[in-house]
Amino acid sequence: MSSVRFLFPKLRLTSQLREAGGVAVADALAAAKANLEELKPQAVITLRSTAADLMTAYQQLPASFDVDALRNLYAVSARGVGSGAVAGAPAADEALISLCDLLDYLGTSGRWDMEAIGVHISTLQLLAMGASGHPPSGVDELLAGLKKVAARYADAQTGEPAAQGA
Amino acid sequence: MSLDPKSRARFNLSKTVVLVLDTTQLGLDILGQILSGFGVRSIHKCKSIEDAKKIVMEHQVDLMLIDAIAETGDGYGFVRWLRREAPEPNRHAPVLVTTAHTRMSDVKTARDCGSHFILAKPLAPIVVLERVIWIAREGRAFLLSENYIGPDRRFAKPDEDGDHPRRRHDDKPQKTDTQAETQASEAGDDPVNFIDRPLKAAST
Repeated sequence: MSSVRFLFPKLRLTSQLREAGGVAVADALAAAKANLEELKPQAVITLRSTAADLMTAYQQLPASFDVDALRNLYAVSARGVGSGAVAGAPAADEALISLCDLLDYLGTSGRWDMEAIGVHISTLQLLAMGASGHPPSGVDELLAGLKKVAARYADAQTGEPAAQGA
Repeated sequence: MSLDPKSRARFNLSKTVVLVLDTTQLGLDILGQILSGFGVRSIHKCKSIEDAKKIVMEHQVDLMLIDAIAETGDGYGFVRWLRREAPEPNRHAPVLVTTAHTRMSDVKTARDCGSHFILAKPLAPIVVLERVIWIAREGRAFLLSENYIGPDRRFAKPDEDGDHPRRRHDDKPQKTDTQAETQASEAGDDPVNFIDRPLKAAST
């Protein structure tokens, strides 16, 4: 039976938070939001660059299962998550996360679906173009469609038959 | 656990030293901007595990926000290293892991790495602040066992009806409603007490 010990470390953070002065919660959140707004141009560039890199990688995908190619796509899409929210295109983050889900499912199951990957990347490009401007109409439907595509392979993970059609 | 975004309760992070690890420039900048808004003045921004380890070995850090690095999971490995090999007091420092996505193969690693919380990206300032305040609370035990070193995660909050089940048959009863009300009234404008205290479920 392994031993278990408990410590109660004194955190400097606890006393720091309570020191006089500081900032009110509402003001801090407003300042953080304003600070993030300054990053919007950088986030738009990052998001569009991520979408472009994914499309380039997609166009170079082999016709059959390739774990290294999947890992590369996964890395690019994961690194892009978070840029959408700051760029004013939060749906792009959801598309990237759905793509990460799909690539994880495919990589784990050894299955290959170029169309499923392609529709994610095309949608992401559309959403990225809408950043800092007018988002495309029907965003919710687009995202629901992507999640449905990825979910087909999630079902496969649990041993259930994959549904046909997105 | 919820923080009123309109609250005038004050908190002070002006002397807090924060380590941020993220392999992307935008990721570092986002956290930097959020933390600056919270009044943090000292932020070590690291783009690699090696840089983060160097900071931990050379500086006392009060709070760490560590990206999991979804494609490799190396951020979880950093937290494991921190809990086992870093010098005191950094070894016990509060850690929030941020993640863009968690691969199915990393779920257990993420759970057991020894972080206080895992925050999913995209990050919202209010969520970051809630978690920072929550982990700053006193009295949180740190557990050291063969397979896990990190904050004791056996916390439970009563359901609204106060009928939350105990986790083990030999756990001591949780606080009564009266005790919880007293705690809430004592919280006042102290932000550290502002968020409901998670009640420890098990006796130790």
